[in-house]
Amino acid sequence: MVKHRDSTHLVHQYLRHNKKFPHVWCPGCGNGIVLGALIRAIHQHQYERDDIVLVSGIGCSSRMPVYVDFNTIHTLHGRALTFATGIKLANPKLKVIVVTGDGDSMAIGGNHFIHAARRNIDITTIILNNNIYGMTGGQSSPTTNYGDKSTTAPYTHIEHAFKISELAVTAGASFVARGTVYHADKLQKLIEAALTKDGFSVVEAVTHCHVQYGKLNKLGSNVDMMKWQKDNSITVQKAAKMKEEDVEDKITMGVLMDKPLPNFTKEMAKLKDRAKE
Amino acid sequence: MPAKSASKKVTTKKEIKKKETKIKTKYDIYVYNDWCKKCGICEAFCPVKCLGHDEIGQVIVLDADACIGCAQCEIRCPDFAIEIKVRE
Ligand SMILES: Cc1ncc(C[n+]2csc(CCOP(=O)(O)OP(=O)(O)O)c2C)c(N)n1
Ligand code: SF4
Ligand code: SF4
Ligand code: SF4
Repeated sequence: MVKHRDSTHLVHQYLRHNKKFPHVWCPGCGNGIVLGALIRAIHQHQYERDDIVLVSGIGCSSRMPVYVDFNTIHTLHGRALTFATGIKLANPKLKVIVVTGDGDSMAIGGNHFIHAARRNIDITTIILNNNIYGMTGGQSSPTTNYGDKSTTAPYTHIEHAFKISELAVTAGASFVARGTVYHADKLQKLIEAALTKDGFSVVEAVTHCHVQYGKLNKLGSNVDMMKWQKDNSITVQKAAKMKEEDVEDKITMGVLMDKPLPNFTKEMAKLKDRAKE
Repeated sequence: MPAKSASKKVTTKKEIKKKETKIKTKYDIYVYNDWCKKCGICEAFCPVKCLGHDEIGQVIVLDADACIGCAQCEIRCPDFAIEIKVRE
């Protein structure tokens, strides 16, 4: 068991200190908190660093693999899952983890996401949901809330947001969980659980982009936005007992789906054997 | 009540344990200023409010003796810039 107290020391052991630090993310951005949780989760399982492949697309969140000493690949906007699928099929022994933003995975990469879930390929996908395109200047993303502002919706957004975790469940992922960066320790536990799953496992990490989303919507500082996460999160168990309209504006935290399903990588191996017979 | 006062003198195992845990572990708090971005997260969510900041936002330790070593600051620092160590 890693004590939280050793967290900073431990994280530093996994960082590529030859890269430019402090990292590129704005002061107080939640991306670093997710990176810490991911490193601790990987460490907890004692995986060999060379067995981990961290794959990302493009975005603030997608810069994550650059900073850590695993096999890493920073690919194209929206295409992280396609690269990850290739890597996993070429070498099923590798532990393939995708790090992606809400824009990267739900807009340009939305189709790849639902089909990876449907296939149930053995990849863990961590989606950093900050409700906006952070990197390119605060444009609406598929998770921008109805009625909120973005630089492409100055008179408020008239579309409705995807609920990432619920979408993942419907699309067929075998493990789906949601956490927040405020609850960094619980987030770590959810990632730990996802990593052990045999199939497509998704962790939606609710985070904040105070610099774009927060500023445009007058949500306050990074600390204010984290307090909001704290005050508006409820457990899956509690949500199940509440009225639907009362759950609507809350962050439902915890495991939404955990069901072993035939996994694509293993099915592919069996298929190869069948074809050889 | 003589019986009761007599039994009071015996220190039970439970009481010894209680006494031992009363001696609080002390911690030292280190902030790596070349990595810290002065975001205020560590200060805001410290349960015992032992962190503060100066006029330029640099983290200052207000009361290291009050620190309970929970490391909530470590796990929430987005820049891996704060470290808690048990005081030797
Ligand atoms: C093919 C292509 N289209 C558009 C872009 C521009 N672009 C870069 S990042 C990004 C959105 C990032 O949003 P998100 O995935 O939510 O990540 P965040 O920056 O919020 O972490 C876009 C549209 C690009 N790099 N490539
Ligand atoms: S723009 Fe937003 S998402 Fe990007 S680093 Fe800054 S706070 Fe984070
Ligand atoms: S370890 Fe806990 S008590 Fe000590 S400074 Fe950090 S948050 Fe505060
Ligand atoms: S949380 Fe980290 S980066 Fe933010 S003020 Fe504290 S030490 Fe500095």
